[in-house]
Amino acid sequence: QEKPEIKPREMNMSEDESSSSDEEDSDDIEDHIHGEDGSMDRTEHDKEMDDGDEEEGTQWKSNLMEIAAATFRRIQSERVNYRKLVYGQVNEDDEGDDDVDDELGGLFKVLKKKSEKSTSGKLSDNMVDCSKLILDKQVQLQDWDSEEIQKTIKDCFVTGEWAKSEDAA
Amino acid sequence: MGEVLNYEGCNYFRQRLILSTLSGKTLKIKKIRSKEDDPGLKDFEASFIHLLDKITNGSKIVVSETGTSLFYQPGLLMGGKLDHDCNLQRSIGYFLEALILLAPFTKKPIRAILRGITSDQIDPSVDMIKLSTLPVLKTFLGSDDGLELKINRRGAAPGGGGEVFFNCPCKQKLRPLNFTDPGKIKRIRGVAWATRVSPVTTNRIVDACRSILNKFLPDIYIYTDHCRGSNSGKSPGFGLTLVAETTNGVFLCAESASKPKGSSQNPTVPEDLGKTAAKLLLEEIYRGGCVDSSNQSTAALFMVLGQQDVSKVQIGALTPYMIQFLRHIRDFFQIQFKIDQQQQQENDEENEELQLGGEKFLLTCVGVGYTNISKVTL
Repeated sequence: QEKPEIKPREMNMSEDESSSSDEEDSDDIEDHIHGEDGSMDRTEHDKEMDDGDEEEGTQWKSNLMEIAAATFRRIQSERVNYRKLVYGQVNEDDEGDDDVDDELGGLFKVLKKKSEKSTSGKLSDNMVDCSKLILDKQVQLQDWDSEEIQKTIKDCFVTGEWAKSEDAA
Repeated sequence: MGEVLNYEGCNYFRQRLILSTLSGKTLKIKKIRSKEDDPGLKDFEASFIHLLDKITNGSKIVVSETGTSLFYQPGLLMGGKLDHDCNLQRSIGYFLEALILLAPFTKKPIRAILRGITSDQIDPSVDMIKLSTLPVLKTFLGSDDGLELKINRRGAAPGGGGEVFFNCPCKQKLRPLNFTDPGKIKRIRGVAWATRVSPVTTNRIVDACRSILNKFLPDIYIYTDHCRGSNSGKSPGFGLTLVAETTNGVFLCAESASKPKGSSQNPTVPEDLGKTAAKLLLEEIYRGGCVDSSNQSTAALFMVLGQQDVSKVQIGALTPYMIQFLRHIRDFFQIQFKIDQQQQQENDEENEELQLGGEKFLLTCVGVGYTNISKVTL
């Protein structure tokens, strides 16, 4: 029978590991990174370790993988998924249907002009079709008189700092 | 062919019609300004439809009686010689942008004369298109043989009276693009123009603009173009278009134009206009990328309609227009872009991080392998 778990101690071992356990090793890491199975493994894993006769000194290594997995998850969640932002479903609740139209003599409907706010929220279906970015309306123009903000683009120019790799001087 | 794409609202009108023409998919737009006091299509949109009708053959366009809905079945893109009086509600830029997106895919090279307003406060002016869109077009065409945009006459808003000549070759295939390093800005150029006002105006604009930009770069040259007589259109006006050119051939463009004659607000002061344009250019530099903000969609379209090959481009923050364009591209061509935020390269040495402005994005896609079958080959 194969070994049920790989102990942290063995992870430090070098080339003499058999290929089959190498595979298991990588599977194990994947399990820990993806999905809930990883956490299941963990409890088993910890129990096994308590049973074993290990010195206290190597204890810190036991949750290395857990730490790695946690860091990985954190980075993954911090990174904004721009593809999803662009292509994802737009959650817009139809505000337009909420307001009840007045009826004139039970025959004509009086359309109310919707307030500015609700239309701008609905991805501006009837806004001006323009490719130019209209600053101060769509995006706030930064205060380019201030030294601080001027500094943020100083290396865009040839007169600015160059990356080490392309610096001729 | 049977599929009909449905949309609502008048926004992104040109995008939809252009993508429909290029993909051959039928299009239906409903609820065009249906809740406004003045419902339906406006004159400039009708003018745009006329322009589209002129360069295509066999298109079927039906507008409902109220003008609030539109049906469009695209025909063949013909191109060739063309003469169009653009509606004065929008500037020539509005029409020219669309023409540029269609130009490489026509049967015959486009030779167009457009009349109207050469620059206003809303759309990119003809100068801006010349300085920033044509370089983008050039990289996809592979050469600038026969690519020409000439301003014969300037015309300010609201009277117009300007005239522009646009010539573009058509291609069988576009080149894929791999453009991820914008390089550093080596010079700033610009055009300060004035029609039917004192010639001193242009100098005042240039001086004010230089007072801001000279802190960043010494190499600045701004041409002054004071039009007189028949070349100056029908209304007084002035403006400034600035372009920052990098070592790798990126052109970042920004501009400002005076308020139209007869507007209720205070008249524009040339000094203020020069400063505003300079600040807009700095903002554009902050956003950065290999394609400036108003040309993001142009680059995206040509990437998609290229050969079946990977194209990659670095751009600054995505504009709302671009985001909608990407969604439309998905609807019409079933192509999704890969969008990654670009990380700053780490400088492990004592150097602190380079100050390169806002965040940058890498856009990657595979072209649909579009070939221009209607182009006559010899």
